[in-house]
Amino acid sequence: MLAIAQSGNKFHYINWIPTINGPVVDGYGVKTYEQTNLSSTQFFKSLFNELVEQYKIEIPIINFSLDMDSVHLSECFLPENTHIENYNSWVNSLTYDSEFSNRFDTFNYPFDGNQSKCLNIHLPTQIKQSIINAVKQSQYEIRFLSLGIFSAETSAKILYKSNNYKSFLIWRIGRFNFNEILYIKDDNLICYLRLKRIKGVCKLHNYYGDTKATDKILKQLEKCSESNLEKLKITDKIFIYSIVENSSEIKNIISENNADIEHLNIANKIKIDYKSSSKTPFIFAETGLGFRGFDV
Amino acid sequence: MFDVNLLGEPGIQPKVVNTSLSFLDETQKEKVDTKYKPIEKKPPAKSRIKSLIIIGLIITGLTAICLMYLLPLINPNKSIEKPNYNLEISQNEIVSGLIDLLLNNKLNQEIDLIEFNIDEINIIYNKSINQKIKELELNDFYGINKRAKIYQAKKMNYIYRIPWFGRSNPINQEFSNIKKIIGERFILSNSYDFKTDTFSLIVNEYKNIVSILLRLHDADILTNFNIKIQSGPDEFSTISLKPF
Repeated sequence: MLAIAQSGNKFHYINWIPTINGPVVDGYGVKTYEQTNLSSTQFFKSLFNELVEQYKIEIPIINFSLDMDSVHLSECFLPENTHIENYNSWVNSLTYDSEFSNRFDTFNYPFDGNQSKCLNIHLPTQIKQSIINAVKQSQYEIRFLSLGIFSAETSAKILYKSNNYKSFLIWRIGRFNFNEILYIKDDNLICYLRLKRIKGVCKLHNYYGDTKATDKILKQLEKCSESNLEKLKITDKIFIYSIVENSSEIKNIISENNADIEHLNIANKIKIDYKSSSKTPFIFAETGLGFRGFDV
Repeated sequence: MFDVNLLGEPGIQPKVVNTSLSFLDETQKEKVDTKYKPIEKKPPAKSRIKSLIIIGLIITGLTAICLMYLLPLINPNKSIEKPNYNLEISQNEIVSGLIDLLLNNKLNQEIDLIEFNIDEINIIYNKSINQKIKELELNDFYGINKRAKIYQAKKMNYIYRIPWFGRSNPINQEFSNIKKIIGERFILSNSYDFKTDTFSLIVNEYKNIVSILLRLHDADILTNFNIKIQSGPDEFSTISLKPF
């Protein structure tokens, strides 16, 4: 089972095999491209084929996670007693150009019931079509096509049983101090934040979902120092991960904080074939979506 | 929380979207069905956990009963245990202990056979030793008992097993010489079986066995043969010697 997660021009991957004793990872790593062309079938074909050949994968089943920057996001109210498709068409016709619906597939994800709002993910049809064409032409199977931090949430659900907590945050530390946070409560998405955090000071770029919850998170974050998050008490658990290996930020946070903060690290949860390296490997948390549907 | 799976149809998304697209060829698809089909283990229901615990406890109890009561009935003397070779003991000590045992009037009556093998001496008692088995176990016999093991073979007889170190020495295998060493006055008849390379002697009385054994040991012959000492025919005893 091959899982690939895009982060900018890097494509992190993990290949695992189901065994009686649970999944065993037999390959992981990252492929970096100078230029990526997500609208090109050839690009995806070459990426998939390289990995399939490298690990001699007999039955190529792919789970893919796109970078959040590959899609557009918006939010809208969910009106009661109105046909949602007609309503969306009307909203899109007001907001975007006439060709918008031909260029993007829009997926609507409702926030928790109290908000009457939904998160809209606008996926360029060309990207989706390129991925599907590449899989089709190579005679592979694609099981899951997800997105950045949402893939990490799937990882937390499968590997860390995050659903056992009433509420939790998924926190992604990206490049140039760019952070993303998902706030989940009672198995519902409350809000999604995109912010810059430099030396403990937060600058909100955008947010989707509950305004009050967003405010609360930001206020608590501002009270926290750069690595000590003890004052961030909005949830029972915080799952945190970084897109870079050996992130000093993650190390500092983990060393300073209590058990409520968990480093989302696949290498700690899955048996890995350490043939090539004796040190603990860096496996990008978002590739954990590859375990979806399996009990690990 | 909802799964973000953009392979599904656009629009309002349900919590779980299981849409996948497969372009695998037929042979690969068959393999997927058997090998890569997602299997979600469901936690066992509470009632099932309870019944599993109860079954586990019952099995543990039965196993304990088997170990404590039934196993000793089947095999009271731990038949598979070998004599203890780890405790140091000299051949002289073994012979002294063996002689002590043979001189014990209570314990020497039920001996059917004494057998010197390459790695152990077996003294085979008939089943009438049953009543004296405790005595046999508690006696010291010059320290050989703590190295010995008693084994009951199919409830018929007991085998008292003592460690032994036999070795073949071709120089000391002349049967005429052995006859001399034993003392001709003890020997009623002797014979040699070419087929089995066995020298057999009939000695006049079983009680003379002790002195015969001492003489063979002094002459360094005891370790040299597979020796069988058996009561009979009649009131006599038979000693057979076969080189290893």
